[in-house]
Amino acid sequence: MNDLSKLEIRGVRDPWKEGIANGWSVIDASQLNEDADLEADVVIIGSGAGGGVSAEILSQSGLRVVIIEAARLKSTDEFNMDEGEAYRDLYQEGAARAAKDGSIAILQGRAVGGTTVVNWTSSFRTPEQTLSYWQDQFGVKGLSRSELDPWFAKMEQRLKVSKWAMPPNANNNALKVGCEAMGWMWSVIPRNVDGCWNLGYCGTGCPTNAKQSMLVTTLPSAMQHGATLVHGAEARTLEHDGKRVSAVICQALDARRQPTGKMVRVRAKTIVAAGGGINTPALLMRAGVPDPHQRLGKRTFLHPTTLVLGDFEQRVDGYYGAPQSLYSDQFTWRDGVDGAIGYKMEVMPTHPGLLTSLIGGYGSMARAQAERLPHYAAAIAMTRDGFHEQSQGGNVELSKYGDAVLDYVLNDYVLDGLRHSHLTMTEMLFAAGAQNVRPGHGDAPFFSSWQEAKSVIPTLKYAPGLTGAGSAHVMGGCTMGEDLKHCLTDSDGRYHHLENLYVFDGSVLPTSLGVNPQLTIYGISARNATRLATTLQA
Amino acid sequence: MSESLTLGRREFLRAGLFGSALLAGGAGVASLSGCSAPMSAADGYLHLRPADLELLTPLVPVILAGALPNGEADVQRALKRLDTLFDSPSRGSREALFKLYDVLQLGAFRWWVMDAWAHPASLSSEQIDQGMAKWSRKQNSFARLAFNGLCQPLTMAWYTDPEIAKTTGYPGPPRKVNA
Repeated sequence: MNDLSKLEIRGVRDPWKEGIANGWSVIDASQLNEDADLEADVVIIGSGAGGGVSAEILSQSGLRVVIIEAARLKSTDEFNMDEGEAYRDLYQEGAARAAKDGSIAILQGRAVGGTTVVNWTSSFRTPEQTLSYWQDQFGVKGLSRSELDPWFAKMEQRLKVSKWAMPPNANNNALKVGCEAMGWMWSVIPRNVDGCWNLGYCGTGCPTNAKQSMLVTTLPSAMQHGATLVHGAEARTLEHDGKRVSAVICQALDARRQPTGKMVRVRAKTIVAAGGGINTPALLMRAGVPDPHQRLGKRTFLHPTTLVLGDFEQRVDGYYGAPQSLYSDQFTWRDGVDGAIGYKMEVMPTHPGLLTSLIGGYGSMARAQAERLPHYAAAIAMTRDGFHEQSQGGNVELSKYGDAVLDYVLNDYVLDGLRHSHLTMTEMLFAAGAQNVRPGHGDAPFFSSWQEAKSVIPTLKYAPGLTGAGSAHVMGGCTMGEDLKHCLTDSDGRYHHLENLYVFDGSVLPTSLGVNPQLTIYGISARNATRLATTLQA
Repeated sequence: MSESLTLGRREFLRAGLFGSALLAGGAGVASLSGCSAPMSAADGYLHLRPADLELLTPLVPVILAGALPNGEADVQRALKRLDTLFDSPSRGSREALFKLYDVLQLGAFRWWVMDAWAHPASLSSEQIDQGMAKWSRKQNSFARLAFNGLCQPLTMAWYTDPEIAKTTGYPGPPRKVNA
């Protein structure tokens, strides 16, 4: 069996500790004794994939950049691989974010560096089919695959993206063996890592700085170029006159995310919203920005994701090793781009807190399943939502406290895809040699044969709360494109109805992607931030 | 399989007559729970209220059966961890969860999902186990979302405890030693 618990990780630098000691401009809003008033050329709200890339490009072009981040700064020295601490400190709502009805768990980062600090490093270019669909359906311009490829190449180089060269862990290997037995395609995932130790703790904050998240790449670079980071400051609204935005108003939060009562106001000539899906639309809704066609928060997509567990005689130890290194696109376009919903297959790591809660159930049966944890391979399928009239995604709403809520209903179109993926991955894991296989459905037992599974799964009721569903990819809610009736930003990310507001994050995506989204957000943000820098310098 | 901390108003309504009655009754739940200050946290807790503790204390040994190495002593530890978990969700999400606990204070709801009108504190573990089994098989979204909302946060709170995590056979993470 693998046992990394005896391993000691020593000698890793913390770039933020060193940077702050060397004079980086970092403001911890929780410590403010009075309201703060800052001024910048560009204020960037959010420090994740979109905000990080934009911060580097804009500060390198000589602009004065202030980055606002709701999370408190937490960096390498504090990444101790404790699951509970990571969920509390690095995820939205302590990893308890969910669709409004509770039917879909949403894992979304909330950190300096955003979700890039906790993602599993899969780095794919946006599929050509997806980009063509945007062009045809939303009038997106200038973002064809050939036009974006140079931006992807630039970001791949910047973030050291390359296909994982080491052998896959046993969890990923089960996908390979199963696909080969079935005659299905599989391939190696490109990862944004440099000198990866192959530990398996991408999801709790990389303890070795190997993952090329925004925290250790673009944000330190922006800081070197004079940017200011205000962390523990949650953007609550925008000052605007219906034509231009003049300032971002933030509330300072303490260590428990409670408002301290102190406010941070950042005045800037240009505003970049980069809070990601759900949060960016919610901010713009709170701010009451012009939205003549009521599009804010609409078409928010999740890649609703299913899980199937394969119980192997040998230990799999799926919590150790690069969490995602192989994938299969066998069913991603199974009925074309806009037919029955397709899905990409990957695996997920099996750390006990997350996996036991996903296994679900209660009592002695849940316990018996928890005790097999080291033996599980955990296959997942991410369904491509947003490419069909019956897949309009969810709507962002505001709670009575002004916080974001996502109303996303798993309808029959999506549920059919979830069932299809359960069948596929169950067959795959049996073919890979699993003794027992259980799809993530509350009424499904561990099946002991494919024959049994394929007779029972079609009889299960697929409905919210009965079938398990999760999401690690929030996309859309500020759709980009040139069709003013359906789109809120143009293809360069500029908000159609305000002169100096730009959206550089995953919320501009008109549909889901069919791939893990980070490289799409990096590439499009790099392109649009570069165009913005050119405009502002002119 | 979902981490259900929110129960939407729509789902309450969707549950049909029962759900509507429960929603309408929600405001009156506080008085039914027999707690004098139902919205305030219990002593030593950030969020869980005295009535929640009364409700959950008999449920925890059943929901986490086999996962409490120190028996009764672990029940309070599990509740404390759950309380800590609830510190992170947004206020609206947290309130939705407490709405679930409020609904569980209603005999009618317990009768619907668990076939047991009585408060869990007056049921044996075997009776609660039978009730949970029934609840876990209900073919109704609202009932099942509520079931997940009760069990999943507790499971996550418990198994993120490094000591409990190791009882699954997981050896634990490497050790980080800072310079």
